[in-house]
Amino acid sequence: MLDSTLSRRFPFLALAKQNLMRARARSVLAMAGITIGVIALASLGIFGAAYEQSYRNSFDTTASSVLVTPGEDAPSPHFDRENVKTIERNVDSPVYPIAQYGGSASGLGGETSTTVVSMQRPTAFVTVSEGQIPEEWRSGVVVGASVAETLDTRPGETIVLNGERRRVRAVLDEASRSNFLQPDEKVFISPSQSTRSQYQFIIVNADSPTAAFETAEALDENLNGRRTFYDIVDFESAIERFNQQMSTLQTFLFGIGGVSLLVASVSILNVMLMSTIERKEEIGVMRAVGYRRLDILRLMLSEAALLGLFGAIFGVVISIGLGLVINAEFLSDPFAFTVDAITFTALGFLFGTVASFISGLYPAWKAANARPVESLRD
Amino acid sequence: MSIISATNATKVYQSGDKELRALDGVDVSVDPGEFAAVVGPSGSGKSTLLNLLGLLDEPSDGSVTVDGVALSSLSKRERTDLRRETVGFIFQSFYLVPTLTARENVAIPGLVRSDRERLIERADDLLTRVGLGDRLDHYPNELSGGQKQRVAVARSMINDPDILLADEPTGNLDQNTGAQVLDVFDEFTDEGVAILTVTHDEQVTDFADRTIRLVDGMIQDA
Repeated sequence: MLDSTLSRRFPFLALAKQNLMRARARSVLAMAGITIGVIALASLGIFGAAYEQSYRNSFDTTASSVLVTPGEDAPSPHFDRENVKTIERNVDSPVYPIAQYGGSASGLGGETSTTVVSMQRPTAFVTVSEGQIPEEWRSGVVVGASVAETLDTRPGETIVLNGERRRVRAVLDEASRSNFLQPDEKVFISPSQSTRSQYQFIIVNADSPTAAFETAEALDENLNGRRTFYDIVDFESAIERFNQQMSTLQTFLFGIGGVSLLVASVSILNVMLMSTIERKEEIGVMRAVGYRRLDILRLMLSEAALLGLFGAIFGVVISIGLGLVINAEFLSDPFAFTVDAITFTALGFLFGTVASFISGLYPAWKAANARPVESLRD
Repeated sequence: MSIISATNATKVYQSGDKELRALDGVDVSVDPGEFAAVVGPSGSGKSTLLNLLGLLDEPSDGSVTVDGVALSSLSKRERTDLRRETVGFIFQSFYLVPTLTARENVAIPGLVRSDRERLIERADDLLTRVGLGDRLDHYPNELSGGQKQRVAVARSMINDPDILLADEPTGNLDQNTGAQVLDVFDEFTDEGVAILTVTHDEQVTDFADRTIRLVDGMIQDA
């Protein structure tokens, strides 16, 4: 063991490894403790991050939007073309004027009352399950998931909407609860099919939640004076609440991981202390043959650090494996590790190695400070 | 000139309000190539003297001098370094590391030196010289008591010491294997290495150039 090239470069590591091999079962168990601690910390972190990301994915579309409705000082309870143009002049992002009215729809499977939504390019807010919505959409309707189920209809078929026969272009996926269009119960038509030029609300779709908050502020400043012509709503408070909940969750998970790592480092402390006591004579001999106190300290610390290092490496490998499963479950992509998930894995590794190094300090110090004479006296 | 000398060395241990004088004004000096045996009843201060000469402990009074340098003038670290360069130790119960081979056990003290290049070759040389050239890769549990002690002697020589200090080196060995260890000692004293051994074994005292008799912490003239 001492005559390999590597051992010649790092004789202390080689010796430390040799010493750990002497009590193999004990070393493996201590290492397993660190591994479990690192797994707890890293995989709980990955879980939290994936969970948060899965929510954020659906939340972000909503939070990136600014909802504009006629304010209390507006001359009319509806917007017209002029209002839309005013808003378009004031923002850089796409503007979606939306008109809604009640109606009824019937198909082969049955009949239901529904809300008809007239808007351009609904794909900015909903996802299509079957069929497709053309870029220049003029004829045909897009049917929400629940409506499609009730009417038992598919793209290419025909439904009757408010007495008129319409061809179904696409059927939508079930939308998340946070989607403010709530498209499941609705039927979408293109604005060109609508006879009305009045809009209940206008949505400005910004790139990110932050951009949306800024847009909302700018709109409020430019369009409203002392009187509120436009009621401008963003989702800043909602997203703040969401962020707060998520950080509470992360802290909680981190706490559980931290406690298990603490337990693991106590077991390293125990192992190193036992090893120190067991090897009292040997350490005494080493002191006698010229090992400085610092040398003994270095040796014992190397042992603790090796336990921690390998424990942490195994922990990280297993955590990444678990992370693949977690990501596949929550984000439907095993490799969708978020920055947070990687940070937690790195933290787990760091804490694992540092914790065992710290646990090694006291036994190493104790071993190094045993006087050579006393170590040999039996 | 002597390698190590103790002048008026006194060691007092405090236990409670009682004072135990383990050594009481001992003068000893060891010359190169000399084989000296320290004998005396148990509790006479033999081990204490060995610890003082091995730079493992400091005298309460008097001085220990190595190559003209007084021990009291050195820091702990300097003393450790001086010990590594000057003194080799041999113990009654060998103290080999069970998971290391004979070669590795011999090499261990050299690991902390900066000139590690030829460490393994030196270990092999020394093992060959103590007659274990064919046991280089054997583990301690594959060696007999006498062989283990010879590995320990080779280990004590790895840093080229000027003096070997042995504490009952033949205490766990029978007559025959003890003689083999003494033969090895003889070979090293011929090269100028001094050996000071504490012993109860008459075989060793017969072999020694000089016998120092300790009684109650004082040297008793023969």
